[in-house]
Amino acid sequence: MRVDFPVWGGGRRAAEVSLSLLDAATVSRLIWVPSFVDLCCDPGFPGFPSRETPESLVAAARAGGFGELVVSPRVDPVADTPEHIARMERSHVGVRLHPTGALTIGLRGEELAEVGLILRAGAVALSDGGVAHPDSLVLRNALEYTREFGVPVLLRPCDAALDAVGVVHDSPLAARLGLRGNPAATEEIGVARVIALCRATGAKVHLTHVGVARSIEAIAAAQREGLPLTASTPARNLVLDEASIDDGRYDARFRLHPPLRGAIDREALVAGVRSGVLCLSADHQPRALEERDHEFERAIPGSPAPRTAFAAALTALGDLDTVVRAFALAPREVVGLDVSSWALIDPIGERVVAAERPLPTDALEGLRLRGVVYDHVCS
Amino acid sequence: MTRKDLLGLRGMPRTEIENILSTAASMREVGRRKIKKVPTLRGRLVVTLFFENSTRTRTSFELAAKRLSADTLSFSVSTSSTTKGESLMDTARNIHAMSPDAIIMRHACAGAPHLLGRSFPFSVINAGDGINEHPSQALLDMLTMQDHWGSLEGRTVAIVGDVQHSRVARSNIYGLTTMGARVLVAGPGTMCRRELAGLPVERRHTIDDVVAEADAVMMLRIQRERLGKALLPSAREYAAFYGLDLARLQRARPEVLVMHPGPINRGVEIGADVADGERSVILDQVTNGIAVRMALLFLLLGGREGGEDAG
Repeated sequence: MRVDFPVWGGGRRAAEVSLSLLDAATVSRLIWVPSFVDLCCDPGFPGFPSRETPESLVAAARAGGFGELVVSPRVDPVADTPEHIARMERSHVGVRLHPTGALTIGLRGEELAEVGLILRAGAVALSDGGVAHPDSLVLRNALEYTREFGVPVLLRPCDAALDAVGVVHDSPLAARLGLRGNPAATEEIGVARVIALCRATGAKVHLTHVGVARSIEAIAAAQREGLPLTASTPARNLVLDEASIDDGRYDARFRLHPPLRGAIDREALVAGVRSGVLCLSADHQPRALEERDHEFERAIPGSPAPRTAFAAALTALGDLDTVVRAFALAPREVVGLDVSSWALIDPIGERVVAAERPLPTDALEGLRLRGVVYDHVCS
Repeated sequence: MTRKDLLGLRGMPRTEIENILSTAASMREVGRRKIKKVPTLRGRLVVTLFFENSTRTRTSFELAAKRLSADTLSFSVSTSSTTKGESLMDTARNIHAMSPDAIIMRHACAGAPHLLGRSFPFSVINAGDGINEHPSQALLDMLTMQDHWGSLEGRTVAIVGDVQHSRVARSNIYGLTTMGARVLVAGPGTMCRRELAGLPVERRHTIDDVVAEADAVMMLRIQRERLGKALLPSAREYAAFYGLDLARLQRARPEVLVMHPGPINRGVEIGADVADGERSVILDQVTNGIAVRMALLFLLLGGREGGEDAG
């Protein structure tokens, strides 16, 4: 039957619901919110058919309330030409894919890609694809060059040499686990470098995968200074930290890059999202079973995300308004998108994240999270 | 022993360590016989699966298995993180098809034995996983110390060298502190980092700081491949600041034990006169290694506790 539900921000909108599946209490809690945006979606296509297909990505996005996926150029082949961007299929039922173009050819950080033509072909932003950028001179030039196009450049802040070290957060826990650590300084140096170059060039930059407390202070200071700098953190970083790994199993589902940081960092991320310094990404990085069924250090880092990201955010932040701002509105501002789809959600109901065997598991599997998505529509 | 695998000493209860050490002490008797063999594990298959080179640990385990009459099978897989070969899980599936009772494995990645332990029914003994643990080495070290002291309770053990990257150190730190000993560590800043505060150790700046207080000094092997990189300038600089020579040893307690997991670099981490000197128990460690590994195989493969089945 059709039922009218309230819309976040005002108004009502109908949805077809099967009341036999929902109890009256749940129905009374449902509300439409602008669909969520993943600023860091690493799709499995083209190039990695065992990770996922366009159909499975769109199904996962719809199930998780995501209407806009900002797609990384780190696919195979790398999306570093206008032809790659033009070939990408953007519209799927209820979900739009927005390509970003590689900032440098092959994401190698050496030569500029044809960023003007890439943008003309429909890319919404430029990106380093999360790949460490070793050369500050190239990065400076890239930012100078792209400034004139007015689009954001998505960069993962890191020092390339330090970033190559370690598989978990460098900390006393890493020493206990006997795993090599990736230090917080990796990211702090990267953030300082980007802020300096942002100031020097005036280019618009969005920092992705922020995970360290001191980074947030630096970003907040740069924003107060008026630099055109935004930043995001993966939603799972608000509920997981390095302590999650310490279960004696060396479970590859926690193999993420950058790694889960400390509890202090996690708390700072939550505060940073609440204060608006950071927005959220889902950081979707699907992995095939054969990429995960390995020793912790050898597993390909990454976790699927869209099905659980909203609930992770709501569980950590506790407040739907903050989640909508950080996960639906602020990311749209970063890449300049309108609201074209809506998700019907229950902000009170809880679910345990289930395994999806035989697929490799979400890092959040087994956690009880608050927030359930029931429907998804385009306007 | 009720556990299926021996993955590490972190979190292992004291009673369990005591049981392994007392079983090992009784196993030593077998090695003193004219016919050094008991039928305890007859018909059982013990596989050594080494992804890193090793001579002494592997032969020690093989000898231990043979003295208990187990069949042994040895797999050497040379691999590196850059070699894209068969995955660990696939290698293990192949070995599983041969119905082993226990796999003794050494691997470059921390947690690799944990992965096999939870994925297969055979027992897994960790013979070294990355920089994480090497429990049988620590157990033989503890047995050697216990032989001299009777008890580890209240004793002070200094571990000197590349503590950061040493699985021997990590297992000893967990085992010794569980048994009531105190562990001091010293080494170059790159090898004894502040993050070691996560372990139950006291970190000191110089070797002299730890040697004076210790009942035993355990010198770690300096891996030659680390020399000349940003971790350590040279062997002679290391010897000058962190090597245990006679002059340093003279500042130690007269009854101090000098230990080394081997193979030693004479003149680098340890002077030849110290390694061969009267305070050295390095060769006792080797003898005890066989007994400890016999005890582990015996206990994990279903022998009764205390070693009374051994004869």
